[in-house]
Amino acid sequence: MTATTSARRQAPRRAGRKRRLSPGAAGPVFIAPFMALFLLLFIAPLGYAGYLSLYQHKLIGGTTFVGLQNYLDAVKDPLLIHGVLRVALFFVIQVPIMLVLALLFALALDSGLMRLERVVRLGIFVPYAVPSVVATLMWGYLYGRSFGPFAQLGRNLHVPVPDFLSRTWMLGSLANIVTWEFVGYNMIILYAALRTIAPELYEAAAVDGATVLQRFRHVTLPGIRNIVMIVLLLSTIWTFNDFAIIYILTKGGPGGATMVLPVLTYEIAFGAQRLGEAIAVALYMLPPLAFVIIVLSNYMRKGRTR
Amino acid sequence: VIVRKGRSTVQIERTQSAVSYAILVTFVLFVVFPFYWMIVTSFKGETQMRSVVSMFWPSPFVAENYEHLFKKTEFVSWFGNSIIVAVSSTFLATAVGTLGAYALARLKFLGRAFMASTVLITYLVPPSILFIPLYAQIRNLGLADSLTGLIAAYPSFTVPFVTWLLMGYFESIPVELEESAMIDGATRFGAFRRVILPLAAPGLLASALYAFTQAWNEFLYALVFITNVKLRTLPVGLSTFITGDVYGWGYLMAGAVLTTVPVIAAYIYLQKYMVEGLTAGSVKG
Repeated sequence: MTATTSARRQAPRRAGRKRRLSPGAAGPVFIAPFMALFLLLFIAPLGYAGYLSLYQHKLIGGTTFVGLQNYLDAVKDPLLIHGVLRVALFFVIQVPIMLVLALLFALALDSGLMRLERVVRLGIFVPYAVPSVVATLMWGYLYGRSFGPFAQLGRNLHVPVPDFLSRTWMLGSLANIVTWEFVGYNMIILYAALRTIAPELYEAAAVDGATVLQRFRHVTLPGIRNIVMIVLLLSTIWTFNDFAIIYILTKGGPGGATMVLPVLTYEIAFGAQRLGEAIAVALYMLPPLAFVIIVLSNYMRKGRTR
Repeated sequence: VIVRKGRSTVQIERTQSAVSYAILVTFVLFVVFPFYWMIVTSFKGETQMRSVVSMFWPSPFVAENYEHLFKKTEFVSWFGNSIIVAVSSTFLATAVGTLGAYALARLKFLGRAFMASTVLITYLVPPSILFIPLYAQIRNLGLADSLTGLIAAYPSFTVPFVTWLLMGYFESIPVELEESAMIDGATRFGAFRRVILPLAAPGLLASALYAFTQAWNEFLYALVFITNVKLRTLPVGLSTFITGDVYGWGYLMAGAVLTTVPVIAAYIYLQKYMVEGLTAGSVKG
């Protein structure tokens, strides 16, 4: 070891430079653990799942090859059409609302109330750090019909309080938990983006007599467009794939009114014990998801290299 | 540039700041109230929970919910399991992620660009699409219903995030620092260990804590992989408290408080790094 080190030291400078430019084995060695995990945790399971989706397992008759039967069975599930699609439509509205709220809070934070900034920042991360399970349990208690504080207060003051866990209110109640959990995270990213806009731009706009709205449209929005797209797509992925909140609060009920794909695949796989069909449902999710992920990753790479 | 402010501008600014103030205060109340309610409830006795007497403050202050949690449930085992799983997967994620991120940020090798995209895409793939395939694989390996199975599966979400985050950190460190170390005779690994790692320490800390939080909070894999009651992690254990027992809110909230404390303590203590880390994880300023 000492010998090689001193030999390297004595070697002419030129040789040292050449060695640096051709790092040789270092790259593959450093990336090897990641590669191994990628193959073990993504490629192998997805490949194996694809294989399993072609089989059906029955108590009588054992496991049989059924071709694409699972894929055909999956789309016949009424919960998929009446549950999942309806809820998905709801989330298409929920995600932009969450974005607008986050932007509103970010703008309020950016407007120069520095005394509050630290408190708000602290408050913001807390819901994001908390386990979804805890968030759901906290809100589940607040929503409660018999012990929830709103219901209790309503009873005592003789004010009618809606049943937050009823069919009518359930989606809104769920959306509220999702918003509570993620709006702060979205806000901090947007806020970070707002801080990068040069104050001179606002000053110049003010000198030119731009109104508040004009400044927002022509200075603020162009400055944060990339990050708005990232937040929008990231929230879409998170909202559509949330499992814990809905599983704990409703299990997709009542009667599929809050059914989402992750809960549906879970129920098919572990409730109905039809693993192949559950995989088929999950794989239907893959193309739209892949599309969102690829678009999003392009925006995120742009954000990095800028 | 001095902009002369007219009376109307000053008025607009005052209204703006009042509106901002109102928005932020409302937001903070919305965020904080559930926490407040959780903590207060965990110290309330059973009779008080059924009435509206002193609704917003425990009276009397009792510890019975915590006692119930420790003595009559498996909470302590679950806490231990969560610690084991979260700490192990944090170490694994940080080690693999650091090496991978360094390779992708600094070294040249065949397929580098492809691997860099892979990191980002795997970070964005949600567990909801992966949990059944992973379950099938873990079961095949004989690791179902064991903490080892969870430790083996959690890198699927912790490693891509740590790698993506640290890539950004490594790229921001000037390459000349390693080059001069290597001219002085350091090997590639030596330069990485003695020059780059110390400089990237805040990034390592942030990403390790983030990995810990993710593993600590994880619900879906833990629900699917583990059937033995004693082997549950905290989130799954807590979620089983709500079935049937209507009077369980007291100890349920006590459990929720104790599950939340480690993560929140970490976030508050390392707030600066976490904010930087999370922001860098998705976008860079």
